[in-house]
Amino acid sequence: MLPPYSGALIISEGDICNENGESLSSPQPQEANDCADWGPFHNRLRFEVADLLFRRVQMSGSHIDEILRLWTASLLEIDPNASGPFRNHRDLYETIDYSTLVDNPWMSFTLSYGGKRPEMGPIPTWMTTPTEIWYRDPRQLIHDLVGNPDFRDEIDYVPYHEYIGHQNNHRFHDFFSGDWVWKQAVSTNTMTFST
Amino acid sequence: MANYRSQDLISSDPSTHGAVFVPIILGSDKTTVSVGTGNNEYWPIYLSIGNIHNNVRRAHRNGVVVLGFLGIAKSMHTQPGSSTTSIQLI
Repeated sequence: MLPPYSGALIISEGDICNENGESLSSPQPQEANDCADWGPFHNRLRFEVADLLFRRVQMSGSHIDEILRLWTASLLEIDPNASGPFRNHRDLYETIDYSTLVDNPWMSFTLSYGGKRPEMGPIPTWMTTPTEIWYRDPRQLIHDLVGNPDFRDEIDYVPYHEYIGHQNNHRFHDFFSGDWVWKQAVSTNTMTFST
Repeated sequence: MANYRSQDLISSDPSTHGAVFVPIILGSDKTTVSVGTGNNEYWPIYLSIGNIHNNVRRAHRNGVVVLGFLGIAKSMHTQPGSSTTSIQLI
């Protein structure tokens, strides 16, 4: 809960600058995709059908086949060459798998303990058993977080300090309002403004 | 690296001028995840960034993502102090 405040709210904000301390314009959040790129789904319809049947309804493969057969049958009345959004449930599964593969695939490696083992007594199993590690490319994950258009109004690119009230109390809330980020990423050239 | 602040590193490389500082937040908890037959159990490792606001990170809005899973040898569960030994292993 933030304290109620009166008087001036002073926001001191770090400035994005070049090596000479000259201000550079702030980066703009990535615009929400205009939905032209549906990846392996090709279009919105195929994506929504896959999302509904597989994720939301969790429909069985045989039922997916049946609804796709009916879908195609209804289209054939209009166009004899028409087909539904997917050939069958396999086609739908493969499209979903392909989308996650190109996205950020899971990788794994095995880790084994190579340090000293006790000379006396039983050897703990974890010293002799290899351990599996599964991971995704961290750089790609961070890239996706920074570029996620859902966060466009709730993301900070520059550190800031807020001081409120007559005592100029430092008000902390989000991570970029804190001292650590300020120390990490703000050089001596800062700007201060009041509201 | 002691006393090296990030902006000193960024400013020493002309190609990173104007870059945005993205603090990386990593975490785990005691939740374990079973896969398949349940013979393998894993600790999830979570990743987030400091730039996004706290309310985004707290809500289920993909502000925190799963970075990986650390396998847990079966024996670790039954031994007292198992978490300490596994942390040393990692």
